Amino acid sequence: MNLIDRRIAAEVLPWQDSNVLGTLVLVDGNPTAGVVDGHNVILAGTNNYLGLTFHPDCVRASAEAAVRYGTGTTGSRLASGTYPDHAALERELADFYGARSAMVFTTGYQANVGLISALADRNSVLMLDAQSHASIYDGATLSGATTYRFKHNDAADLDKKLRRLGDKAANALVIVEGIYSMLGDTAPLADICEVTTRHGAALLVDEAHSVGVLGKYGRGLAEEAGVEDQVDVVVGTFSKSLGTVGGYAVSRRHDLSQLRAAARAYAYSASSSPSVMASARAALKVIRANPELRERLHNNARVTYGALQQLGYELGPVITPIVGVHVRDTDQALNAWRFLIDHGVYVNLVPLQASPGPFCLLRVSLSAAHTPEQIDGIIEAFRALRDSGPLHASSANG
Amino acid sequence: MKKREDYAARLKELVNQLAEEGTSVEVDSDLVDDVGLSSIEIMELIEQLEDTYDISFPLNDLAEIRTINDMARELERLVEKE
Repeated sequence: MNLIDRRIAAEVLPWQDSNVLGTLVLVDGNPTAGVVDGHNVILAGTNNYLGLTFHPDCVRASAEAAVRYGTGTTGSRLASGTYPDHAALERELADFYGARSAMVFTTGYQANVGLISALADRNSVLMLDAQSHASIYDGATLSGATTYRFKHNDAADLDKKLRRLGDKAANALVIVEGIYSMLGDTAPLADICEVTTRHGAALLVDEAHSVGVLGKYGRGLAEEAGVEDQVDVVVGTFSKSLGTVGGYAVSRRHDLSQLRAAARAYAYSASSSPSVMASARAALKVIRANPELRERLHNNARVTYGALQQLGYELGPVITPIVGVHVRDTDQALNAWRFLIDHGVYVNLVPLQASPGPFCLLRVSLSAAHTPEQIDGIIEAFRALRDSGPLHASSANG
Repeated sequence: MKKREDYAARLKELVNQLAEEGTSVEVDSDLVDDVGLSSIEIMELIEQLEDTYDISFPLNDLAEIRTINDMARELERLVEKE
């Protein structure tokens, strides 16, 4: 047995015997309907908040770019991988945010890992919200900075921890998220900004789940909270509201372009394909021109959250397009997830390892593209689940 | 040395509260492999220590902490530093 054999033997996947991780989702021409496990389902676990994956402008721009520029760039952004759409998207993002600069990364994960490890080093301090995404923790590890976590959404705990740092607080970077991906709760950003500024620290806000979702213009929580000028860096992704893949960082205060070589995930990774960049540009235009998409999304979120709450489910604390249904028991969670598929609804099954608390989650993500009938379908499936007995009711396949 | 032993005794009490009933908890038990604590429970324990002793626990040191004794040593270092 060598190292690889031992590592593989030691690794246990969540629900290993059921082989549910990476379940095949078949999508065909529609952002909110597909086929899972042989069942026609409403897709309610895709982060496709505005339903733009099939928007005609995005599809057309993507196809035209593939024909014109080819299927890939085969180079890093610092070598041969900067095409007109990469440069144009960075300009358009800077304009959208009123920012001095923007950097586009190949994935959202890389944006956090690359930027955080470029901003902090072994002489810096990182202060992470306890429920930060894995990419934030991984960026912190890679940076070598002394890293602390403060209690989730607790500005008073952040204040205490920055106070303990004394003069070193001026060399600290605080990192929070706009909307947290599992329970859909939002950061108390005005309070976080006040504490961070008072201690002379810098602030990074990851708006991966909030861009296109929050704020009058869709710029995210910082816009909604009226604190954009107090945030040093915003990180975001194209893989949710913008319906494609990739990540970015923008700053109103700093010229991030100076970090292009230091951010190794940017410098040493092939750049996004031209078709991805073109669809992201088209999606950004759609977001800017269609604020009614956000209204539809929030209406769907309100209706679904209210109905599931009324059905007696334990949910996350805030109404956003992510509705996290708590399930205490691992087997119950698997059975409930299968029950919902059998009843025509696909949601995300979140294992204990990825959950922010001692529970699994049935994670529902709403979309502006969900029709009223589909919202009813989601609610009815959860009603049937509740009526079939406690949440642990086993399905026909269970 | 006395202080570290005091911390270890207090930690043993706290870990006992988190461990499943009937689990044997010793100061050199591995918190994950022997006691069966989850990563969430370990972070809860650390939050309790931070509040009780007014310290901040760096995540960088967590990889080195396997047992109550390891944690008591780190706790002593952090409290002295404050």
